[in-house]
Amino acid sequence: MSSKTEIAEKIVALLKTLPKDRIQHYASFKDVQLARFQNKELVSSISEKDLKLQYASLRDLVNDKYKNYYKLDDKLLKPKGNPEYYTTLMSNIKGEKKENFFSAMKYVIMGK
Amino acid sequence: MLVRNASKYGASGLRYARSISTAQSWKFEARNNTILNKFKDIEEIEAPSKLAQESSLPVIEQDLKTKPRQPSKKLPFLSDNKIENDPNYQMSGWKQKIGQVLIKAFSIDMDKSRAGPVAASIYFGECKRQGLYYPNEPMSDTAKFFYETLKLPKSFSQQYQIALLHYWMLSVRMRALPHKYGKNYQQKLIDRLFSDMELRMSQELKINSNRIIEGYLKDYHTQLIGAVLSYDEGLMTDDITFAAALWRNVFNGNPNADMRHIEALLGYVRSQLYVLNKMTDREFGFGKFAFVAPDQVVQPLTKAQEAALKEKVKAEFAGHNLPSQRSVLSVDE
Repeated sequence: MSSKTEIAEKIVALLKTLPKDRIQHYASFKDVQLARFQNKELVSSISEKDLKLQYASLRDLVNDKYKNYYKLDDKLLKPKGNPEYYTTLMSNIKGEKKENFFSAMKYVIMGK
Repeated sequence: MLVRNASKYGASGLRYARSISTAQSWKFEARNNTILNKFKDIEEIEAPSKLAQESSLPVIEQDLKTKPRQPSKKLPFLSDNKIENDPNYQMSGWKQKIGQVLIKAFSIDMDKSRAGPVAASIYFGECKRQGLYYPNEPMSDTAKFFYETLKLPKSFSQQYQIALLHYWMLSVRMRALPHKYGKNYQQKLIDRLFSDMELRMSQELKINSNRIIEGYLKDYHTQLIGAVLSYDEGLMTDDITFAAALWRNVFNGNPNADMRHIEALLGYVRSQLYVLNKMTDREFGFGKFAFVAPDQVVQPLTKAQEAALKEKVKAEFAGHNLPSQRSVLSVDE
């Protein structure tokens, strides 16, 4: 097995570990990139060095390199203007909680 | 100023600024792989533009289905108004005195009033400047990063996506201001962004039909809602979700996008958020923030450096005693 195929396989294995999008978007990063790195013709047109860089970058992203390096505190993550903003947003995205008519109207009128 | 200090640590290579450990759980190890092992051991963060330039992945042009329309005219950067256009403008002494008396007599809430000149002018200019492009004219360093290093298309919609990303970063910080002020700052900034786009579509891109401009503005508004939601989700979850949001919005979902470029942009965004996080409400509310250029590295601050910066801010604002300089925004956080 050539080295390039090996790296492409690692990239594919890494991409397969990504969770499904919580919300359906016009394009799925996981699906599009899986198709790209499973395309043998496309992979063969990339140099080994660049393919390694693609893998290294993906690995950094999966391992939350930047989230851990540039740590944010509660000042931004629990903003004092609206401390529940992200909690509400995430519970809506995950489908744990759904806005009802009254809570939605309250948000429109009060802004939080 | 915090931004300059924070970026200065990177620019001047003062590594003592590093204070946090980057020890991570490397879940995906590479065997017998020198390049990957090299990256594994790296604890340094490189400047986004340098990181992006490491890759020489062949560029496969994305089919945008239409040739981007280029501007045929250039409007003033902010406006025709002499006060807004002249950074050294000084109001005459007697006018200033009358203004101070009026502010004191009517107890005008200056934090509310300041949202106009700060969010709708200074921060609007910051957002617009980053991706601004005119054919045959020199680009700013950040614009070079987006169009030459990341190889994004030079189109009006792309400029909007870049401005939108910077708007979102500022709005994350604005949410952390007291609610009535933060909301006001956000509103002023987004209103100005959209009124500027409307004007540029009509006068620079020469779109004559108001109906078509309105249609585009509605599309851009839909993109705004989607992008803000995706970036917020990325901020609260992990880097890969954030990277996917950047890929969909800034990289137009390009199937052949370079992962190194996406990583560089993510590093750029996270570093800006870090600087915003370390800035006090008062500094931010007074328009002291400027985006760090992509060729610079932001190094995390130590506790001592943070404390020293806060003292500096307190000393700076202690001398602000005029009625127009009053503020309830915190100098501590």
